Amino acid sequence: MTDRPSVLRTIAVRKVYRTGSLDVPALQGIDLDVKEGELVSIMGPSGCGKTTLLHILGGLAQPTSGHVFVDGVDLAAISDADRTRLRCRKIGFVFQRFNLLTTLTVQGNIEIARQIYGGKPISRKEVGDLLEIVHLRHKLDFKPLELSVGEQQRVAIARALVNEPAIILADEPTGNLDSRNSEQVLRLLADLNREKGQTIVMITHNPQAAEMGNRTVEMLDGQIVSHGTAPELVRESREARTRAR
Amino acid sequence: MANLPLANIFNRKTRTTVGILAVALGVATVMVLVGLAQGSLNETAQRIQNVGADILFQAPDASAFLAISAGVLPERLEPLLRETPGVAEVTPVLVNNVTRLKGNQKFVMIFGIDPESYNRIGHGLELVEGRGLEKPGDLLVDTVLAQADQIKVGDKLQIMNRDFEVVGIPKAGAGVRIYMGLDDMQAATAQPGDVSFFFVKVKDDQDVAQVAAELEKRFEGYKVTALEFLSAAMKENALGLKEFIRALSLFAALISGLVILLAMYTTIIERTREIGILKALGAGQGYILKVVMAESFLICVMGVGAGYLLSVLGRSALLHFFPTLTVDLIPRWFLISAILGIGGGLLGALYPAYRAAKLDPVEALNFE
Repeated sequence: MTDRPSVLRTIAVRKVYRTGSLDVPALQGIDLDVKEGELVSIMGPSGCGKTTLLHILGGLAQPTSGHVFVDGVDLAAISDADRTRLRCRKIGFVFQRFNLLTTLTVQGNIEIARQIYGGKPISRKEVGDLLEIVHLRHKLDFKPLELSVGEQQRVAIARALVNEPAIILADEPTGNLDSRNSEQVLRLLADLNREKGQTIVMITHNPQAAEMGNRTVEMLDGQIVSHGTAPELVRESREARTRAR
Repeated sequence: MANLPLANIFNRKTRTTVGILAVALGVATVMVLVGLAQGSLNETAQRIQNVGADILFQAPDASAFLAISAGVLPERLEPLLRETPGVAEVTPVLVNNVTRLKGNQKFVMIFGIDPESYNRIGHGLELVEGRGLEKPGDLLVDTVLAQADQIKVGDKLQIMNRDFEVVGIPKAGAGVRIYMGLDDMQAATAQPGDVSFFFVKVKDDQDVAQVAAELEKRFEGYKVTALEFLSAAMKENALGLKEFIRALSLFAALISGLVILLAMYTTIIERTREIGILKALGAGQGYILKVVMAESFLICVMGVGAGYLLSVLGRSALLHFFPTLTVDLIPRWFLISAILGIGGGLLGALYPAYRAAKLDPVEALNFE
């Protein structure tokens, strides 16, 4: 993996939220390098800054200081409009709450991502083929609220893939799913990474999810406290919990 | 392709209906009230033209609105008018208005006429029932007013503190709704020997414009109007009509704009998260602006369509309940009211659209 090019890189990223007269640091100097084709899991307790980091990586939020490079482009050096364009072309988001547009059908949700991308309109067959990856071809004309939560998340993954982004950023994609649906979604992400070489950065609380990744990053209080292969970190985490008992 | 504005319109039915109704109300208000104002003028002008005269001869600086004319001309001008080359017939008319009829509030214009010369001037009064004006105290009420107020031949009416008997029902469409003898009118209004204006009929082989020019020359300063231009002259003279129409148009645009603003603003708040999703998918400010404006445009267009329908229904209802009114739905105003409805609506949508476009994507995504 080390010889592959970086698709995501952060240098000394800090993010401070101002609440009234109080400065609340959310990220305190994050250095992260994600190589092409990696599946990186980010773990850590709630409030440690994982989601803020993901938003900054995706250009949805701006760091207070530091630099973020997406496919070699420094997000701080480009305009808001260019950041939006870059996000559209290079990044696909998968959220814990699925975030599908409830007034559109499954097909519409996928089409709109392509519409925003501005490329050639996607045909119904192409949408069907894409949904085949997430095993939902038969749900093309369903509205999101007519689907199970697991199906909704799989549609969200298909939507994230429609423009063939360089990176998928997934914010606790199994957070709202039961174990069976979690397993399906995780297997799907792992397959995408293994078979298609899709770069994925995934926030998770789920050790099983973390084990799937090539690398796990552990965060605490806005800082990265450890890097390692997922099995190592998961094992360390289990041992720490055992010792604590 | 996915059409988010259309999908939102059909999935948020209550909001859509309120928006459509608001625009429709603005459009229909303009259409019906302008139609009522201009229709009444047109109808009055048309009825005067249908008398059959060619020229209206009035006192200097008189209004084209005959209803506000008083006895300002001496009746003895009549022979002088007759002597004018090209003039075939002249008939004097004294106008007065009453605001109460059969105990009900009602504005009605009455002509005091000389029946013989009045009937010679054009088509005359086409009686559908009873007889013409023959003696003092005789009164004619046209078919529309007779039907609206259930007046029939033989009814006694008190007008201007004098007793009259309805002796005939002329067909509506020419002149005014009530006629009495010129002498009766002069006596009732204490204007003996005075008239409001003269109708002039031009000989068949003469040009109306030339005779009118001759009258202007002979009676310098007097107002001479060819009746074919009466409608235009009345609109030009209508005090405050243009201002009224302008105010009405502004009012309609304001209603459309405000309700669309409110509807779209509420929608933007309700759909903050959706906007966050679009932004996360890579939608720029222009895309968001386009989606919100397109949705508003569609609502406005449907509102205009509904407004047209409401105008037609409103016109029918008005004519059903108030048969003496005239409401002309003017083709030009279909376009103007559409521009007002859509323009007002789009202006109202601008601020919510701008706000949506400016939303912070992370805050929008976290919106509950």
